[in-house]
Amino acid sequence: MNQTKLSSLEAISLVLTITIAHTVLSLPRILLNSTKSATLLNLLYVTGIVILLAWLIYYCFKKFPGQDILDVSHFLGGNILKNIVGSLFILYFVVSSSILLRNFSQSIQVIYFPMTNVTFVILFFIIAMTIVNYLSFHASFKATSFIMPFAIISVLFLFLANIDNFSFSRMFPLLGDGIIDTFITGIGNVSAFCGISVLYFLPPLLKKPENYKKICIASIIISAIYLFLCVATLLFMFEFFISNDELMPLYSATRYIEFGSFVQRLESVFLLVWMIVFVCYLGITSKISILCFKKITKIKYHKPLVLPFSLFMFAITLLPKNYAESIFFENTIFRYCVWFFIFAFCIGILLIANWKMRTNKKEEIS
Amino acid sequence: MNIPQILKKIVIYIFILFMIILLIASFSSSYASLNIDNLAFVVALGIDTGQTHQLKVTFQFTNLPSSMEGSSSKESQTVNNTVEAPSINTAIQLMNAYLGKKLNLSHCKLIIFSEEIASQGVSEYIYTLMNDSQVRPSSNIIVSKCDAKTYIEESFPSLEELSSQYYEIFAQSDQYTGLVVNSTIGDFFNGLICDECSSYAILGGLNSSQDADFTIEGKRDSENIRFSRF
Repeated sequence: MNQTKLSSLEAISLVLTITIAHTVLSLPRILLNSTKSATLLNLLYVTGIVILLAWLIYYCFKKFPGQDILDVSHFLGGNILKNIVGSLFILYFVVSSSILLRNFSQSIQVIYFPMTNVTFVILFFIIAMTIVNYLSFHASFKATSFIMPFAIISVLFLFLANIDNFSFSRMFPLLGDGIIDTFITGIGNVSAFCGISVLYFLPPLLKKPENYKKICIASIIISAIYLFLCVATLLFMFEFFISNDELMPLYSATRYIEFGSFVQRLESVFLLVWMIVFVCYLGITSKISILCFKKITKIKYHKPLVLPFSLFMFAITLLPKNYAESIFFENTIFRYCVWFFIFAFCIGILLIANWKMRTNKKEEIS
Repeated sequence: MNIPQILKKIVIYIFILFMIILLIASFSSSYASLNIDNLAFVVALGIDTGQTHQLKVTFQFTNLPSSMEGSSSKESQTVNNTVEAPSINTAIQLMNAYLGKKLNLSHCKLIIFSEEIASQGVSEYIYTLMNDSQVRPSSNIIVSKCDAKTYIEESFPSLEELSSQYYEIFAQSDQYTGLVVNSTIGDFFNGLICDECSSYAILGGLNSSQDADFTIEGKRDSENIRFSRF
């Protein structure tokens, strides 16, 4: 059996990990603040759009079996386009995960390590990520697929345990600030499905490439269910996260869970699960970045790249001067990156590559 | 195994050891500051209007019996301290300096506002408390007819030995009586920022034979506390 190939479950876990890591931080708050009480409706609408986009990605890759976005870029624009796309993906994965790590570490520091410099909290995750990357190619993906059920169960538990605190009337007015905000400007919430970025790299990594379509659709649907549970929990519990709590919104919801006098303060268990998910997320993003780098530079071995990439990520996490700067990146800049790069640019490349393939075939026939 | 390989292994081991020591050293300060010996656990917080500053904040701490005194007695003494300050955060800082221990609000079960301060508006104090990661959203809120300080000093249970346990239990009587409502700071905050909702709190006060200034209509006859009436 090929140990460097992914099963369908592992592939779905990869996409989910990225969504979960973003959800743990401020993603649900961003969604709620943009579409208010219509967020659940908007999420259903946006899920439909993203499923269509995922199907489009699958359809485009059908003409390029066993190839990823870099191979397709090479076909379309030669080495120049391949290098540009590869560099942009490396930049996207490294910068987004580093800034996310900074925000997560800062939250952990506020909650548990008030006297420790945030650099050491970040270092803790960076070391874990480096060790993961030094292990075999399959180890981190296997670990991710093992952790994912726990992350999903944790959010399901969060939803069920807080039902007593729910006020279902908070989902009204159903259309929030109106139809335009929900269905036109609300399309911006597609950035919640940033895990789709992994789909561009999956085809050559799959054990069964014929399952690619199922993986695309299933990962989007499971991500949507996960997001739906998170947003529903927050929407029914709180009056939108506008006025308080710049920390993780889901963490705020975990603090309400109490079963009598003895089972209280379960937030530490949730944080433990989220920390492990975060290490998996960092492992995946850095691994994909290393694969991109390896591909564009045509280096044979990836292990010598692990430490430089870890140090690169560590340096980027230290770039924001304060929490406000890093949260600005996560809340604003990251959304634009997903819209323009992950959705518009990459799908554009796939469509043009398909068109080129078709015209080439027509020329061959004629 | 040749010498360069052995040297490489030694370097790796030294690096791992260095990292372990570095992480232990960096996290030990947080561990020390969050150690039970270095923390003063607040079980109740009272907020009144001050004379020299805007606020008079009263903290009630439990003085836990040490393990040397044996585990047969559960009884704990409460210690009350009051400080005047322009804000709650400043009051906490002043109390930190005064006690020589770091205040921890994660076990604070009761937040009391005097009626005077409640009539002036409590939203800024609620925002401050809700943004404190230590304050539990399940902490109960009381608006007291008398001073919050007096309320905290005079409110001690007769059937419970631990005041913290009493504070945790008393609001749960809403499950079998209709006389007390379980009003928490989380619900209060949600009510504050919601356009269609109203915040509510438990109305408390004092009624004793020595001090008959405070009377509340509809007081209960059977109380498991000595002076406080809800």
